[in-house]
Amino acid sequence: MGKYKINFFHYSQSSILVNWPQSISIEISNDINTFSKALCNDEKVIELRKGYCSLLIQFDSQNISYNHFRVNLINIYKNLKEVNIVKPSVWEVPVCYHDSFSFDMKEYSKKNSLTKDEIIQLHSSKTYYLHMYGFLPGFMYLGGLDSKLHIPRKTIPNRRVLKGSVAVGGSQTGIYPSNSPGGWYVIGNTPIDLFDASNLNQPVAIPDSNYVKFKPISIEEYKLIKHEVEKSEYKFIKSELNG
Amino acid sequence: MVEILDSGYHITIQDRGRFGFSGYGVPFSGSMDHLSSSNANSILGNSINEPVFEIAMMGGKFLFTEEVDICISGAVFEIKLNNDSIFNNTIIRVQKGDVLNFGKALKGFRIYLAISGGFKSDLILKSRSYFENITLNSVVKKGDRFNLLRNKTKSNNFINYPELIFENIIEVSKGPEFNLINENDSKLLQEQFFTVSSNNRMGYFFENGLSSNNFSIITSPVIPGTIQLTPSGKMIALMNDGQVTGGYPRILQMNYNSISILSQKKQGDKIRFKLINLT
Repeated sequence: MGKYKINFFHYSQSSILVNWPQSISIEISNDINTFSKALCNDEKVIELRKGYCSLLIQFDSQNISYNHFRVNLINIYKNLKEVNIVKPSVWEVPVCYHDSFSFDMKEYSKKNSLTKDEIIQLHSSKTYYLHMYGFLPGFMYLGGLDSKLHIPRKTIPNRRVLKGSVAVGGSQTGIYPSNSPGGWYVIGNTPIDLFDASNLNQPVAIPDSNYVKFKPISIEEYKLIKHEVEKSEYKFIKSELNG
Repeated sequence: MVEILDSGYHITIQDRGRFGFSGYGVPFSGSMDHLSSSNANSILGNSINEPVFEIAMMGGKFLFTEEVDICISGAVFEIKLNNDSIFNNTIIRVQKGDVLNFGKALKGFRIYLAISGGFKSDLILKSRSYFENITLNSVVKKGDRFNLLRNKTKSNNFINYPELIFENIIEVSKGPEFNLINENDSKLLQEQFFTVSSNNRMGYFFENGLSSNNFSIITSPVIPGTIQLTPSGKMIALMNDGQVTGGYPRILQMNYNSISILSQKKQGDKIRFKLINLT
């Protein structure tokens, strides 16, 4: 049985938007994820795009009408069971906060009146929840940033933020999976790859509805891990979520 | 084989698009004007999913090293096969050594070049559409060579009305946040002409807009054809390479054909929205 009062919006000729109560929470994201998994085997579903509290479903409008499809969705949500949920893990993401990567650390430190060490401590002690992917292929929307680390986004975005950059912007933190323009403050870099376009089954390294924790590493460790990644020998460190 | 002698302003390879991966942040991509790319393929008897060259604004020179049938469809370009003029939406036989040379777009913005039986390009995440950081290249480059596949073709498929793309009425349905805008803006939206200020494969931007606002929504999904309202009151029409999520109110949604129509507009072109109900 679905837990929330959800509503439906006819978004386009072949898509329907499902809205949950409009707030950001792990419970809602988990519910969306459970619903999404239940839709995976429906042959009328073409694909899904997740938001924090909404789901946009592309359906096969050649073979089912909007109204029929909506009724199907209501029934699937009503009969939702939480039996098949895989227990989430905490995925360790190594981050080097060294000066050679943390391009915006000085400005960020000044603006938030925190020392570099305090920033690293606050940023790497929290466990972040992976709500969904968006913005760029392999870009994670992570929830749970300490409010002391919040900062308004830059008014003028950088034209090129380097692949692997770990950054903060607004109330969020994230990692640029590829070179890209971006308006967040870069405070470090990860040597690991988060997106692999050659992997058809799952091009992202970390599945959504899991947790991420940043582990500070030295520049030597960075080089070592980078080398392992290049030889495809890097193994993620995962642990169970406590409590 | 076909060889690129000049890569023009912006040439990419596109099929119908990359479906099934937007949950990982990967956009659909695919031909911006699918009506015209389908026509170019259909006239040759290709599958409408056969990759084509999408040529935007101006330029592009193709050398054919063997005899093959081709078809061009979409915008009207200055175009020469060797020294001869050729026309859209007909089958053209090119000979070994022929050079196809694109000049400026005279009417519209994007033209599609299809080759009978297709040509070879990389299949990544179930699509051959170019997209930065997914495919090896994000644009076609001078010196690139593509082998011809000579897949079996069928008799002509259904052809879309080729003049439709030059219309200036964009059919839209209400987006989920349409009701945020006031009555006056809602009226403006349906009565005023909006002028294109710039465009790329990610989106179309307009010179004029609605009143400024301080609306914001929790980051939510968007698809090609979603029209967002920014705080300045200007609108962004998201296109095929657009992000999969966004934080601006989604006030309108274009239908398939309107995405093709808008794809043929360039800086200074004027369009009008026509509100329709989804059935």
